[in-house]
Parts: sequence; C-alpha cells; structure tokens
Amino acid sequence: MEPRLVVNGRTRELGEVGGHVTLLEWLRGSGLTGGKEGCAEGECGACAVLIARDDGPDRTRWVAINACLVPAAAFDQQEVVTAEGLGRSYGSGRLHPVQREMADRGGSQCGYCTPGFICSMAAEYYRPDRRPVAPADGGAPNGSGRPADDEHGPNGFDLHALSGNLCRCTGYRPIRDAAYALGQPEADDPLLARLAGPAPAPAVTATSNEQGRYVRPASLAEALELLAAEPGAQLVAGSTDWGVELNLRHARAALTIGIERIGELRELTVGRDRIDIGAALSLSEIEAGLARSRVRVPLLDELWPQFASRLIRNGATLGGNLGTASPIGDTPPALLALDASLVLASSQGEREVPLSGYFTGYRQSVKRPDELIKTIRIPLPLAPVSAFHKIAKRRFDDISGVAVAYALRLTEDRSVASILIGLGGVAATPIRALAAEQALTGRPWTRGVVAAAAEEMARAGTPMSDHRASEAYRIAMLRNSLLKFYAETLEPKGEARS
Amino acid sequence: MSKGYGPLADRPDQPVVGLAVSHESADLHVTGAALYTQDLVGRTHGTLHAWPVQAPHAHARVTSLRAGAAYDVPGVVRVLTAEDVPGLNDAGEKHDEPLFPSEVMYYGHAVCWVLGETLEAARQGAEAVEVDYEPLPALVSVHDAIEAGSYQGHRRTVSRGDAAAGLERAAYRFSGELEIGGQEHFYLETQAALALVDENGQIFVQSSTQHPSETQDIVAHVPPSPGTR
Repeated sequence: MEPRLVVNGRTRELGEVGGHVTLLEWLRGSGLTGGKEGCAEGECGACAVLIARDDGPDRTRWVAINACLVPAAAFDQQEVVTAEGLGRSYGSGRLHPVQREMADRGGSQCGYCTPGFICSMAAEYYRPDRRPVAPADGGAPNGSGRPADDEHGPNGFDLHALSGNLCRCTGYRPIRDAAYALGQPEADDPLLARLAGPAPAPAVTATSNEQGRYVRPASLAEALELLAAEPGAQLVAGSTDWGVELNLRHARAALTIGIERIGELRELTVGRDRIDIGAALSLSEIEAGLARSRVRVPLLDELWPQFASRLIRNGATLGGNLGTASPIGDTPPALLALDASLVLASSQGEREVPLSGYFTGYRQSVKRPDELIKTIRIPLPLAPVSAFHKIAKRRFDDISGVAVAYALRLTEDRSVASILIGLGGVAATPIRALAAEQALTGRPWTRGVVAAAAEEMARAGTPMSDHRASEAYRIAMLRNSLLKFYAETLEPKGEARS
Repeated sequence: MSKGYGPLADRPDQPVVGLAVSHESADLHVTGAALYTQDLVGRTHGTLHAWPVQAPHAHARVTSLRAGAAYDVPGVVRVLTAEDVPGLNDAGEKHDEPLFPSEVMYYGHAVCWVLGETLEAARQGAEAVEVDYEPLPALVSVHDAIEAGSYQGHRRTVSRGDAAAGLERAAYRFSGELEIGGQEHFYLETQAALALVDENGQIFVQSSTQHPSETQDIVAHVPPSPGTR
C-alpha cells in the first residue's frame, strides 16, 4: 500500500519520507503552515496537532502530540487534524468552538503559539470523560462558573492539557478563560462523531530515501528479526527523545524501526502478583489503562504530571525512557522504588532482569543491541506508603535536577519493614539509595532514625554540578527529600494516600 | 439607568470603551492561517536555505577556512565567506560585528554560511566546512571579567553623600554577593529572514525582527549598493 495519510479529512500521499522527515516538516511542506516550529524539542507545543488513536476497541480518541518530534512515516494510514482543519470541519467560514473562544477572549497576541494551543485545547474539549463539575448556568457556555479547583474549570477542563504549550506574550489568563468557557461538543460535531468508530489500524510501512529507511514491522517477531539483522537500528516509539536527537543534534539512523503500535508491546495486564506494562504504551495510555483496570499505583499517579506535559506523555513510553538509560529519566527512580523488572526480548528469546541490575553506565545497560524492552513488570502488592519528589527549575515540563521515589512498608508498631528509594540525577545511572535504605530497615520510623538516614542519603551517588543544579544543591535536596517524605507520612493525608 | 450614582456612572449609548474587541488577526491566528516569515518559504520558488558554520570556541582566531568539501554535498550551492563581501563585512549597527568574523567572540559564533537547495543540504554542507582556530583566552563568568577589569561600557555607580563615612559609623554592616538569574525574553517565533532579489536587482527582505530599519541598513551596507535597495 502506498504510504498515505488523512489530513483534515483529505487523503494525501506521504511520499518517500524515510525516517528523518518529521510530521511537522511534512505538514508544513505540504502547505499546512499553521503548526509552527518553536523549540524543536517538545517544550513549546507550537507544533501540536491532533491524531486519531484507540480509545478501547471500537472507539477513537483525539490525542494531541508534538508534531516536531515524530517521524512522518509513523503516520502512514493514520488520521491527523491540524488547526487549519478544525474550523474547516465545521463548514467554511466558521470557527471551531475552541477557536471561537480563543479569538473572542483575547487568547492570541503574536499568534505563533496559538495553533498549537488550539490543538491541545481541542483534544481536551473532546475528552470523552470531561464533564462539567459545577451545575451548568443556563446551558450557554460561558466563563462565569466557578472553577472546580486551581487546575480544572467548571466545564471539567483539565489545565494540564495545556501544560506542554508555552505562550510568551498573551499571558495565560485569557487562554484559561477560553478553556474554561468551552461547553460540550454539539451532537452533530463531525470530530465528535468520529470518536464513535475504531481508530485507524497501524500500517505495515517501509519507506526510504537517501538518508535512511523507516520500517514499521507487523509483529514483534518481525521487529526482532530486523533488529538482529541490523543491531544499529534506531527503535522509535513516541520519539520524544529521538526527535530531540534528530532536530537539535542532527542524529541520523540508517534504519528506524517504528515499534509503538506492535500489539505485543502494548499489553497491560494486572495479575494477582504483578502488573505487566507493555513497553510501547504511551504514559497517557498506561495512566488510562491502570484506571480502567481499577488499579491504583499512587507512586505513578504522583509521577505522571511531573514527568512531562500531556503532549509528551501522549507519546513517551516506559520502554523509551528506560531504553535511553539516561540518569535523569524520571520513570527509573519510581520503577526502582517499585522493585520493577524488565522483560528483554530478542530473536533468541526473552529474559527478565531486575531494574536494579539493568543500568551499567552513563546511558548504558545490560540490554544487548539485538534486544528490546518488551514489558515492565511491577510486583504486587505495592508498598502502602509512597512518594515521588522531583526537584527541577519549573513545576512542570522540566528535566529533573534530582528525582527521588519512595516505597515504604511500616509494621504495626511503626517500624520500617522495608523501604526502597530510587534516585535520579545524582550518578551516571539511576540508582537505589542502598545505605539509606539499610539505615532505616528494621528501625523505628522516627525523626531521629530518619535524620540519621538522611545523612546517608546525602552521601548517595556522585552528584555533579551542571546547568540544572550544583553538586551542593543536589546533596542538600537528597537530604531534605527524605526529611520531607518523613513529614508527609505524619500528615493524615500522607497516611490516607497509602 | 441611573441607580443613585448619577449619570456619569451610566453606560452611554453606543459606547466606544468597555467593549470586548478581538485582536484584528485573531481569526487568522486560531485557524493557523496567519503567515510568519518561515511560512513564506513554501510560497516562493527556488528558495535557498542558509546554515551557519559555528565556532566551537568562546574566543578564537580563525586561522584557515576550507570550504571545498562542502561543494561535494549534493544540493550545496554556495559557501559564503568574507571574500564574497563586496561592501562592508559588518552585520551590526556599530561596525563591530563582522558578518564573517576572523575573530570568534562567542561560542557558536557563525564564521561562514552555507547555501543549499534544502535545509538539510545546507546543514550537511556546513558540517563539511573545515575551519582551523587558534583558541584565545576567554572570560566566561562575571567573576572572571571583574578580576580582569573587563567591563562593558561604563561602570555604573550610584552614590550620594559620604557613603564610606556612613558605613564607618553604622552599628551593623552586612556584606555579600547577589546573583540574579537574568533571562532574555525569548519570543517563540524563530529568527528567520527571507530575501528576494527582484528583476531590477533590488533586495526585498522579510524578517522576523523588531528592528526593520536597522535590518534594512545592515542588509544594504554589505553589497556595494546604496542603502535604498
């Protein structure tokens, strides 16, 4: 089948795009210049577009992603909607409700970020479980209702949907006003109607140009064969990390293998003694999948909003975050505290390795070049008390200076039965704070014992000074994090969280 | 209608203030129809893309520059260097920013530019250009600069009365250092410029800049032509 995709309801030939043309470049090259390149690394969201993705077996969801990070080839046979298409879907000359509110409420000034905001806002507008949280005032959508809390509008709009979009001139208040003024989609809304059917199935794609090939295999077995034949191939799922390499460091791969739609890598099962999470599920899909399975992993719930914006989480995967083996990835500390293990697959078979033995050096792991991460395995039952502390320069959408995750079991007399502490940003790899764990295990959970263990925390790893944090600051944060965690466990809320 | 506040508190008929007015381009912004400099590329025929060769030193002298290998990259059209400047080799208003510098003044300073039929060709061409540098001493922190007595412009002091005597008499004296994480306000629109040479040899520049007149002046003094072009 010729590589093609549906953009704003119209089928277009994708052409031989290879592995390095991004969706944003492709869209702009085809004349749709609404999506902009701002940062080219997934921070500003000026490139956001909507894509049609599975929402259960027979339903579709409009998902907003950063078009600047993903290979265009990954959208073979897929459906994409841009800011240009949103209004057009309503008939010519009409604005989409999201566009109408943004225009009427002064949500744009220079306008460069606006099409990206429009797409992120539209994804939240169509979120199936978005419901007004306050009684509707008279039916007409307006901004007069009281917000539910600091982050949700009276119309149920979750402001985190916009956390991956930066505006540098209008200011966020008029944008929030527009978001909170939105009503529910009308019954005859064509983009709402689209949600009632299945999302486009993943295509088996092979495209190449002078710069390299892109292949989307049909199955895990095919992917592993390809990888065995070309161990230097670049595996790409959400491309939130590889996209930055492509755009800013100009990395190029002879072969790019798209794995994010391979069924075997997208399973989420909750058993009696473990949770198995497919390595190619997006973080948003894991969040939704766990909620559907009625399993709460409070440590992960706390991690998600701090990990990155919704735009990034709609693409980023656990497999990617662990595969790059970066010392400042945010999921490794949490997964270390959860005592996770990884199932690595190759054409030779599968093996399970504990995450605590996975990292071997800066961006290095025991994973062989012919292997990929198939499943992330979290043992059950979970430790009842947990926390995730991310110390970064911004509250959201930032890279950690230090990240600390805790999973604690207390005995009835409040001694430490077990504690696992995962650390990021303080060594060449994510590590466990073993000395601090040892200083706590079997001892009473008291301020004195914790304060002594906090000194062990301060000696953990080999923190260095860089543009994110100084060595001294990192050490101070390690010490304080444990003290903060102790304080959290004393609050009734902290206990209830478990 | 007046409610005891008198007629001045009433809304007049057909008021001109106090009305919500949309941005004149709001509809274009929200539909992605508004055009920015970078959006014009697809609307012009045969546009060449430029990519800089950037110095990997904070301060250095360019000792040699060999552009030959760039021409082996398919799609590379021209490598622009100081030799191509018929007018003034200057990209600033105060004549202290050479367009193609022989002395690198900051990390990433562009020493020459490669023109390609595609952005990718220009980038690969820039990668192929060989430049030799002689690194020179650099002051990269405020502390370094103070120590070296290297100040930009005037050293500003604010004083009134006899501060030294006042301090001498003070019951408490505090001293310390303050560091402020000053940041440049970055707009999201990337810096882009599109130059068209028309049938009369005139150059029409569209640039994402807040300084159109300076840009016009700089563009006009590089070629050997009057600034009116």
